[in-house]
Amino acid sequence: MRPPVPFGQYVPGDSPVHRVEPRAKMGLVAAYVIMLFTVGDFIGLIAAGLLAITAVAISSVPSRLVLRGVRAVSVILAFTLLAHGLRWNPATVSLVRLGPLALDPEGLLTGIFFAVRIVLLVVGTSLLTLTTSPVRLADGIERLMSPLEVLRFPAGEVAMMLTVALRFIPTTAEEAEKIVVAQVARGARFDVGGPTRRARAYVPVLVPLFVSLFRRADELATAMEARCYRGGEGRTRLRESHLTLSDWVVMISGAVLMVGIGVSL
Amino acid sequence: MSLTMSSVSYTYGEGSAYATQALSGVDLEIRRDELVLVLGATGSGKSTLLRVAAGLLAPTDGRVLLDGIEVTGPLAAAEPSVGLVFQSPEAQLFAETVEADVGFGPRNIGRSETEASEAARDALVAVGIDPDAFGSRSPFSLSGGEARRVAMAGVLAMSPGYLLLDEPTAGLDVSGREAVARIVGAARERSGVVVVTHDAEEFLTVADRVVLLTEGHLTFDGSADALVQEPARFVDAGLRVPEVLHTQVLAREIGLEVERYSFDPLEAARLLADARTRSQ
Repeated sequence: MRPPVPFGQYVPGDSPVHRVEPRAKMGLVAAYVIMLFTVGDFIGLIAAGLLAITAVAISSVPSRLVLRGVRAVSVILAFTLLAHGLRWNPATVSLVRLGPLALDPEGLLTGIFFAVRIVLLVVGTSLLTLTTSPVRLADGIERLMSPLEVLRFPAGEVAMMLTVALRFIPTTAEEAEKIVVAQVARGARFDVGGPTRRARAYVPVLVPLFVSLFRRADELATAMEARCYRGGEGRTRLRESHLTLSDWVVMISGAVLMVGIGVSL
Repeated sequence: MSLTMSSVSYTYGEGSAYATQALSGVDLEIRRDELVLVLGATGSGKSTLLRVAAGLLAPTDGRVLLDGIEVTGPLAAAEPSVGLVFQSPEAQLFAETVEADVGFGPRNIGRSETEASEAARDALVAVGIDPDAFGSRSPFSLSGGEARRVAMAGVLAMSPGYLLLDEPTAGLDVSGREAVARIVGAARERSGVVVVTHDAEEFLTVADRVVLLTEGHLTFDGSADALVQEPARFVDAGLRVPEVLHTQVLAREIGLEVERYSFDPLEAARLLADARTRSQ
């Protein structure tokens, strides 16, 4: 039986966003990130937000899956808000005051600005992994890195490592969950005591998990060698991926639009 | 005195795009004095059934009751406790020594060091492992069959009132399977036992009751004898018809008047011999 989908995991589909070539998508995400870090006010963030919402709508990926990534960074968001909003004994007018600690409206606004930027960053980047299968993503990264092969950079091997690592994230999560449940069935508790006790409670999970991962890695390496894997050199691809004219148009027009918004707003 | 599931349903990833219904309206009562065999194909919800029964998963619908009291969490430390031996339980071994690993459960439920050590040694004896020879060894140095038995001892050491076993013989050789069958036979003297498997033959002769799960639905709940009178039920549930039963079905198909079906090889041989005599 399938466990709940981890945040950012590929959601199969046939939307226009799914169909864009991974390298074009990575280029668009890079432009999006540049835009987010160059806009200087809320109007720029609103424009970026509208672009993100449009992309999510076109992708047909359920918005709750996109927002699951935001939930994962909720602690960082809270810290960002408080770090900017809280002041120690300020001379200015405060929204709320608790002894010397006060909530400064101007600082809070700055905190909201940075928090929204983080939210949009998570939404934009998770849309890349939500709409691109790990294999296509790794393939795209390999092709982007391939010029470095002239400098003896092992692009094929790095891409294979990436593919295997991405492939085993859900498997490892499933295995960890199984071990946690098995130890809970033996009376283990992970929700009691202070930080040290809680950390120690995970020893019965981490030891068998690492043993299992090393064993699995060893078996996988042997199985790959048994099927004649000798590194990236000379390997062909099952599916050749090419940047089509529409990919170039989407990438260039999207990148120009986003960098333009970033520079002008 | 029973562990009861009342109209239990369970859906993985409920509300998500990947929602998968594993159990659907299951009603099942397990008494302290019986061995219940749960049969079903891969993906039929057997393992989920055990997790829900052990309080490790809260049903998305329906209730689980332990001696009449609604279950709200893990039952490892309940009274009576519910012990669950997972599929390939050797994967959960972690401690430096076999004895320390088997004593992990008793220590978690508040037993003193002495009590935990005694419980661990008793449980090792119960699974046929010599605590003096194996107690100080690393659990990672054991063979597959030994590791399986040590992992089972880790649950038996908690003296469960109900013992739930998920595919306990999977991946074991003949001697390993026999050892596990002996452990299950001994455990039923002290606890209610539920064995989940897709290999019917292993426990059919010792089960008090058999339950069939088909795609999350309970499709049969009765005696093993009643089940084998309807071999088509195995096929409908996606299971292989036990060899001894299949032989009798074929005998009927070629015209022998087999009086009734039996899963006991000796009785099956007698029934076939009688049918042959009648046909001559």
